[in-house]
Amino acid sequence: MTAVAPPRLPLGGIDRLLARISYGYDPWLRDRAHSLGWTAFLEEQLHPESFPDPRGDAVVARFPTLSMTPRQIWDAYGVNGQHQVPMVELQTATLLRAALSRRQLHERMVEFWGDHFSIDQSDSQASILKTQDDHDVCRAQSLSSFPLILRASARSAAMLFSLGNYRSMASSPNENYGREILELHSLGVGNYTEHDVREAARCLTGWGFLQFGDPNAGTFRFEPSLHDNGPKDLLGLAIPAGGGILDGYKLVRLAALHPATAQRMSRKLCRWFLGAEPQPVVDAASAEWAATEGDLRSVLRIVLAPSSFASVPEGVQKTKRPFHLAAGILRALPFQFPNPTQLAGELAAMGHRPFHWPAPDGYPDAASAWVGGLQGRWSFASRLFANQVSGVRIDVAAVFGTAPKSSWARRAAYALRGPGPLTTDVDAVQQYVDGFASASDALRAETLALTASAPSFQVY
Amino acid sequence: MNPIETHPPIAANRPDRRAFLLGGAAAATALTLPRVTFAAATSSAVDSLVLVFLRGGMDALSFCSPYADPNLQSARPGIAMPGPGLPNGVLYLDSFFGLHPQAAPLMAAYQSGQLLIVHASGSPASSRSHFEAQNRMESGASSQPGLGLSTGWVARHLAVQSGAGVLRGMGTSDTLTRALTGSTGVLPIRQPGQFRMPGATGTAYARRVALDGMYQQASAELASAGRDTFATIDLLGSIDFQNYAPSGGASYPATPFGAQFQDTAALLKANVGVRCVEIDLHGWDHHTNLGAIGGSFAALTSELAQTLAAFRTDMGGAFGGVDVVVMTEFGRRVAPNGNLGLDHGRGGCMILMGGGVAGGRVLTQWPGLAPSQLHDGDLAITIDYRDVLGEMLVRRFGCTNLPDVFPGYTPQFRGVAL
Repeated sequence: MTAVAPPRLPLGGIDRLLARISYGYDPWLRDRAHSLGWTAFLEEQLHPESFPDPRGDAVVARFPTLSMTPRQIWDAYGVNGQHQVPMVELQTATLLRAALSRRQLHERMVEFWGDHFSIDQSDSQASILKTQDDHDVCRAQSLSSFPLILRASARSAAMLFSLGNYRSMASSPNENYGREILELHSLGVGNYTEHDVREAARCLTGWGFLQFGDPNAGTFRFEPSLHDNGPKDLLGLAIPAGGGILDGYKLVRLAALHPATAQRMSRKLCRWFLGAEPQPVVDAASAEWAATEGDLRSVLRIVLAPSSFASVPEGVQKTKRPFHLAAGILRALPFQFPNPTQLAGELAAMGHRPFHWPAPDGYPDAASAWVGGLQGRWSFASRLFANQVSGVRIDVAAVFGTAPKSSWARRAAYALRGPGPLTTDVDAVQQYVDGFASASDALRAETLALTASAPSFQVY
Repeated sequence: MNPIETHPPIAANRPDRRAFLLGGAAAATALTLPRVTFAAATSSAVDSLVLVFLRGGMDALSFCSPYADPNLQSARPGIAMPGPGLPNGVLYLDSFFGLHPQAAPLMAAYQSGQLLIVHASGSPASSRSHFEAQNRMESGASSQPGLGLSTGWVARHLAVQSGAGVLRGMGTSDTLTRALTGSTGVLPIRQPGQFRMPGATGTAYARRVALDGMYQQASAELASAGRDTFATIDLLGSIDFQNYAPSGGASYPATPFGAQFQDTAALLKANVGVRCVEIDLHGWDHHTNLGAIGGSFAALTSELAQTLAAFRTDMGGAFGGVDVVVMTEFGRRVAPNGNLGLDHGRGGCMILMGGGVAGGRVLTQWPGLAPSQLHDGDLAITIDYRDVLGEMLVRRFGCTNLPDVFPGYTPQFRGVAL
């Protein structure tokens, strides 16, 4: 695809794209976007491996369990009941990578997949296994193709554990995963029958993983003796007897490329990035899904095209989920994290501890689910800027330098949101600042906290 | 299938011999303070629900032991609770069931007809996975699969409640539980005494004025959420949780669970329109060393019973307008495993306590403990948990949309509510 003329940009220009494919403002990414232009910038973000990411890498290096196999995590923490260690490391690292990585579109897709293939980490063995799932499924396949990520998820020990498939056998098939792979992960409810659920479950019998105690614990394993090798009839396709492991692969491919899946996933991606589901965009993305066999980069080029943004009614905004809010604050400001043990708990207090949604459908992507938690957001901002979140230090003074008090609200808004039109929130914050006779560090922190608590910072 | 015998309930207003023999203050109160006073006081009003979810799967056969079941000892070798009168024996409830001795604080409520145990109850679509079983139970989904409910039964009930306050419901966990998810005016508030403007007290008012001004200018959704939040801050700020003194000499255990019940008492007494508070108690997943006598199970049971009893005492007369519902995702297996523990089972029990409860008895259709009567080695479920909740919702909690609360299922009322 070669662009002859620069694309017509929607209102707000490339900052619209930047806001939706990132966790918020930081000077580096904004400069990059503006210097490359829409198409080249999007292309770069669609290929995260093509550019270095030192700060993202530094986060990974800080948390040893991120690079460990399930067996290593089990030996180091599982056997002595320290399941919290790998869980909290993964949660904290996820937030810090969202804040610090330059591969912002990748991180936004990692979050998307984390919810799409939702696994409750607090569910027993998932505490050990989710780290591998995050690495092999949500990250490794974040921008590959849907058949590949669905297949990776189907081979993920964490998924096979949390939906009970690891105990599914020909004599007593467990329909849990067979159902969810159709209902939640691909076609969506209403596009398959109960018969399909049973057949999907039969296709997946024998799909499990090596248990703890095995040297390669957590590795996918197909056990032929547990597999139902009879003929199957799934979504209108006859699957002959004796297919073995191929039955499951056929299911994955059939589900991944089903027209209902293309529609549903296109819609879901539109909602995630555009905050709306304009039917022409959904249709174009679905057609691209069919033409490219679910190639995620190709589909995202459609969803994230300037014309797609232009087709969303003006004024449609998305409400940040608490994770997004926290990542956005940390992203915008200089901070150190010598021992960030409390960050995950802060997310939990806002109801959004990563990988802790108790159902397999993932944290909701709807404002209505989240706006009830404003007090938690305000408390988080207040504690963070007052440096009361242990193990994390925000350099509050650096935001204001020697600027006079009369410009603090603008300074804070610029630091958190970057250049752009001033909202009425800025006046309200400045009015608050003006109410105090003298400058103080406490007032600086409050100025930032109020700016981050303002309604304009809850949306993007 | 196994024949189902109906266990004859003991009429609540006909205290049995045991209650007379006890003769203590509690029993005397039970006899002289007729329940009808409570009922009359609240018959036209809508009760508040305090929901307790025992996470992990509580062992119903230890909590409320069928000591007279002829198969109990053989079905539970080594861990069956001793019968009434024996050392560590259960407390006499009726000629068939006995209450765990650490649950003794609940006897007063039982004897005054305010405590009901619904035995061999649960979800027919139960799963041996905690995760799945809790989710299905809390969503209120039908056993008919594929409904894909992402909201919870409490939330669907609260969402259409008229006359509720700014804060319709409150969960005391970090995040809203599935049961509470999906209604406006329902917030996760771990410590209601801390739900205030954050930061320095000296500047709180000025910051609030600034924020309030900003949220009034915001989009409709954020503006409304801002209003709810400020109203809840005001609401909870008007209640002195810090210096709250329980009435009637009630003493809550010094645990998070106890503290959350004390906060709840303060909140409900303030009568600000809160219709549901959920408080969970974790730790019932006893795969190893059940400890029904002197161990983990006994300690948890004691904490539960002391807390509920303190709450009842504390609420005093107002207890007529409050009903506590205690549930768990499943019961445990009948036979112990090799570690003196119990793996996941099916049938469990629910505990109902309050002025609107037709209590003083154990309600059950006892399925029996003989090998042929068990369901894959578990206590069978003969009462659907939605029968119990559905009746309480309609008769006590002002529910008018029961088909939405439990879609695909029509609860059968079994006389659990007054």
